[in-house]
Amino acid sequence: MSTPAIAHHTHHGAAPPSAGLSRWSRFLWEAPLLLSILFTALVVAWAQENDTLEREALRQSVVADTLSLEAQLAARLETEAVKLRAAATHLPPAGADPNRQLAIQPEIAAGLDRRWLSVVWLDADMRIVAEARREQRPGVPAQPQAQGISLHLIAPTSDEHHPQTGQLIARYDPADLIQSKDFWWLAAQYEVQLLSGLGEVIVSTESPGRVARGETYETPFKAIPDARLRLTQRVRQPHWFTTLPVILLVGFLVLISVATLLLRRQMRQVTRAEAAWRNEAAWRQSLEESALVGLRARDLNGRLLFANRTFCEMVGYSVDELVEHDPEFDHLAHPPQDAASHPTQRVGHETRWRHRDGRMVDVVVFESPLVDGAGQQVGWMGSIVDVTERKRLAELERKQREVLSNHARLSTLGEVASTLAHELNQPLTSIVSYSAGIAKALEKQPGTRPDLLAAAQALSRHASAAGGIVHRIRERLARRELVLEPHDINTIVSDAVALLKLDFKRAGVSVQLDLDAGLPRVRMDRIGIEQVITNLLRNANDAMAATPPPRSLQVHTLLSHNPPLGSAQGWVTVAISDTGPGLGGRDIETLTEAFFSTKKEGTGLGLAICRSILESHGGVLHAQDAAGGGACFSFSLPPDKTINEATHHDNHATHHLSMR
Amino acid sequence: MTTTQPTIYLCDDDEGVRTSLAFLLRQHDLEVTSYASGPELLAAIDAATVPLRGIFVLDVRMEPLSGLQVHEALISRGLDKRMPVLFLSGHGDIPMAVGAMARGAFSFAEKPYADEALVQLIRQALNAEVQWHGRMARVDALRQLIEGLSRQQVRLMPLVAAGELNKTIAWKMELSVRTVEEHRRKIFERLNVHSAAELATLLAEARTAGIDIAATP
Repeated sequence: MSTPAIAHHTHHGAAPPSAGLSRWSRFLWEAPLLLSILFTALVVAWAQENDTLEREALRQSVVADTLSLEAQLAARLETEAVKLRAAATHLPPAGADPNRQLAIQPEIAAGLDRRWLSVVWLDADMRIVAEARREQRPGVPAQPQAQGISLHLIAPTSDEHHPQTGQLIARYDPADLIQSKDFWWLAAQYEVQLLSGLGEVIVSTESPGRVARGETYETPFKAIPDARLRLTQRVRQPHWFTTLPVILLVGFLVLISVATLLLRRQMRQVTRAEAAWRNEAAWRQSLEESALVGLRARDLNGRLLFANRTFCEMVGYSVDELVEHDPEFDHLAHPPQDAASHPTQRVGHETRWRHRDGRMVDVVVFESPLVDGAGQQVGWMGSIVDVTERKRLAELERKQREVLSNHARLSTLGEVASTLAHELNQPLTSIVSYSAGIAKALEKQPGTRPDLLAAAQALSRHASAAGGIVHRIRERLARRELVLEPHDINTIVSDAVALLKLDFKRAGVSVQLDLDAGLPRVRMDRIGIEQVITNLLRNANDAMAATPPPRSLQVHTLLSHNPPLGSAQGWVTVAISDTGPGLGGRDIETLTEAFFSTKKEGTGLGLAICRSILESHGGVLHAQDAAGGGACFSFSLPPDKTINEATHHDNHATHHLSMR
Repeated sequence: MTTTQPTIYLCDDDEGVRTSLAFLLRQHDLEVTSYASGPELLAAIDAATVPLRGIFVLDVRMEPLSGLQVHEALISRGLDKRMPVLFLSGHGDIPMAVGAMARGAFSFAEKPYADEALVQLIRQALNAEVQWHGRMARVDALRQLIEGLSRQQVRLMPLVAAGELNKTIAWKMELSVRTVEEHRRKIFERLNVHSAAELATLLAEARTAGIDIAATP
């Protein structure tokens, strides 16, 4: 992994491919194929054109060969005709043995030797005078007969007086004419046919089984009336599209198509992989950006390579600033020793960073090695969790607990003082009265011993002082100023339950809240009431410790219209029921007696304090056995009006006391 | 209980406090009668043959009747108008004592009290009782005087006090002027007043004391 690329990537996210580009690349895809097709088409056109030209040339050569053959054959026949005429001219008038006469004629004999099959001598009346035939010479195979058809040449015989005395007719085989060895070069190339006027083949150079299919040309054979000469090429000119180049080209096209297809498929896979990578990159980026955990990567020298948004927000610098300056919290840039020694473990260490704006940020840093593709460690990857808020909340909760426990301690102390004062009040009052009375009596009696009088007066003073001390202590501790403000009792209940959440969890107690959302706000001393609720919840929790599970605790808030003290208005009531052992027949008076406790380590003041707090609000505390067998403690707070009256009275009382 | 001398009727169920306080007060030459409970006190009051003089000192927290309940009983007997009620309060029951004050109690003392302060408070109450007694005596006398008048004279009296002329009164009440003059003379003589203004003052006093005087007809 090239680590700088990570940072780079963070800045410049890959742009999504545009539609235009896609069309262009699509064209690029098809271009090779299209060009190949074009090329092939051109080649095919060229081949076709070439073929046409070739055919034309061939045809012309056939025509030329035909015409030239015709001319040669005509010339040959003409030669024969000339020789026959010469023979006719030299023929003497018919003798006694015209046959012999004819046969010894040298021209005739030469002609029979050469080509003539027979020569017939006709007189002027068309009677046969003589006939000469070719002798069958042994060893020489008979000439193929042209299907029995023979042709003939005619030459008139003449003497000095008569231009025509008869005729010489020489028969010849047309096959012999055509199959002459003189035309071997033609015969190799063409099939030569002589056709009658009706189109019958008179002579062919070819054996009947073999049929020539090539280019053909016919021309009238002037030497023989009504006959035609036809040349047909032996080798058939192949169709242009069956030529090797075209076949190769088509093959090439097919190959190109396949290649394109394969390439396309390959590229599609690449594209898909690229898209997947882009997707993943975008995903990873948004993941990094949205993560609430700060992320940063550093190389082995501690230089920052990458940081996500949360990290930047955590310290107040942008990535660029962090990368360039390696800023003030440089001391954090070095990997912690413990992490270095245990690279596989994710050991978090807690530390404080200074944010750019100066405030301190509590963070927990988890470092793990940053490994590249080759398995080489190139740096450290760190995830950083901001725990400032968590710490603040924990601190807040601790403070609240402290306030509450402080208050509880103070209340306990106050209750002790109060109880003590109550217990001491009566005897002190008696002592004050008696001592003052004695002093007065001695004073009136004549002849009283002055030291006795002084002692009595001192006794009275000290007793009064003692009373004053008790009074002052009680004033100071028991009469805490109530901070009366309108509060929602449900909020206080929820807060108190939340505060004890851990205790409940530890004791395996499930808590059900059933809070009436429509309760009016009541003026109350928040800390005091919270202390009452906390105390009752704790009592319930402790009471259930000995009972087997399931342990459940139910907290109800409701508006009760029939409180024991009687009031037309609704009293806000909180009831806490447990599944503990219950009250065991004790009533609220017994339970709230000072120093009465069912708990070994209890002070026996908790409920008494609760009752004092509630009564100072004009409220009442009840206790009864719950339906489920446990205990149900509940308290009711009067509507605001009553509180106001009580406050008024208190003021009055204070005023009056100060008069004494 | 035949004495008419102002007495302190002390009621506290704590014997130590009760006896010591009685002892203290007696040393101040005060008359004290103490009771251990509310019912005991109420029984003694109901058994009295002559009108009582003095004050009540009640502890707030008592059994079976609390100081407040005893106070209620005194109010129902009309005694609270004649005899001041003073409460002794321990801590924690001050709101109750304050409530009692609101119902007309004279004052309360918080235990443990300083002796001089308590004696002084009791003397104040006793003085108040004397004043109350004097006022009540006058009211009683006044009631007797008014009760001595005829119905017609009672009806006529407010008009005279209002300064109406005899003629007007006569016209209003459909009497002769002479009769009105006679009534006026009798009223003045009976009530020992010499002018309509004096009569008006007297009537105002009587009304304040709760004596029923017929309104203008």
